[in-house]
Amino acid sequence: MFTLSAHFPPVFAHVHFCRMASQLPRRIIKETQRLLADPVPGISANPDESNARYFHVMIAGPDDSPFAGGVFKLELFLPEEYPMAAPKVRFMTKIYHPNIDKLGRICLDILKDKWSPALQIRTVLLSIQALLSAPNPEDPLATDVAEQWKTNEAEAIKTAKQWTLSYAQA
Amino acid sequence: MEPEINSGTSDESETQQNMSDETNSPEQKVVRERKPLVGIPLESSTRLKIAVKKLHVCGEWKWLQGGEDTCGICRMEFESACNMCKFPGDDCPLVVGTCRHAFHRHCIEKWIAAPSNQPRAQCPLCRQDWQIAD
Repeated sequence: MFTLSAHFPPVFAHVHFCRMASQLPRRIIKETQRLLADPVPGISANPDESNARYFHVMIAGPDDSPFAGGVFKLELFLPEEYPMAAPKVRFMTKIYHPNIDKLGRICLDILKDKWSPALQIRTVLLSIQALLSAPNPEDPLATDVAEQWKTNEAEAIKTAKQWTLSYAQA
Repeated sequence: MEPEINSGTSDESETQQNMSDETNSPEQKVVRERKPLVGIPLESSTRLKIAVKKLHVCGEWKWLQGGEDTCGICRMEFESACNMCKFPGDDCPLVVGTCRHAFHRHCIEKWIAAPSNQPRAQCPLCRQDWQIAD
């Protein structure tokens, strides 16, 4: 099993974090500390050096999916209203998935109308990881990919594997 | 002068009298018979005199409704200040919904007013319609 932490040790995040922390809501500070100290398996999230609301995220493709062996880069931004509004998350790595479009935008209900302030960065990233394991072509964002997924799933999975090999290597 | 606690009585006025006068007048004896030391009858006729040198009192407060949980919105303990408060207390008490979920008042009020929670306010934890319990 590919371990993310070995490839992306979350060390640089500590450098300027303390200095910026004073203006941040305590909840964001707590979440960041826990993400760094007790990361989710297969996921790393590090705050940017100059903006503690901006996170560099890496998600390992789940073993049971066509994205296995890939490492996907995402950006996550906590808007001023967070946690009363959802974080903004986008894939930076090209991915062949019916619920993720060309620009990396993700179709996931908890990032939109099903957001709740009881959710957090950790649970959002877990949901995105789960979305990689369970593509849902019935609720597409990338319509052409969803169409392919519905009409010829074997071919779609093959393409997803190819894209993972071509674009999602660390 | 240090205050003294007389083992034979819990009557404060008598304790004060003992500090100035060690002799037992008949009047004081009557008081003692009427109010023996709570719970511990002393077998002997020896009378103890305890001088309390220092008292260190510790207190702890808790919201009655919160239990051991944390606020599901700000993730702070219920007895800690929410993200909008400097200090905890009556300005920001716990609010319990009909679904029995509790939050800091400021946290749930902000969520009810949030555009992402329209048109119907829902409990952040169970998504039931949010209504404050009586």
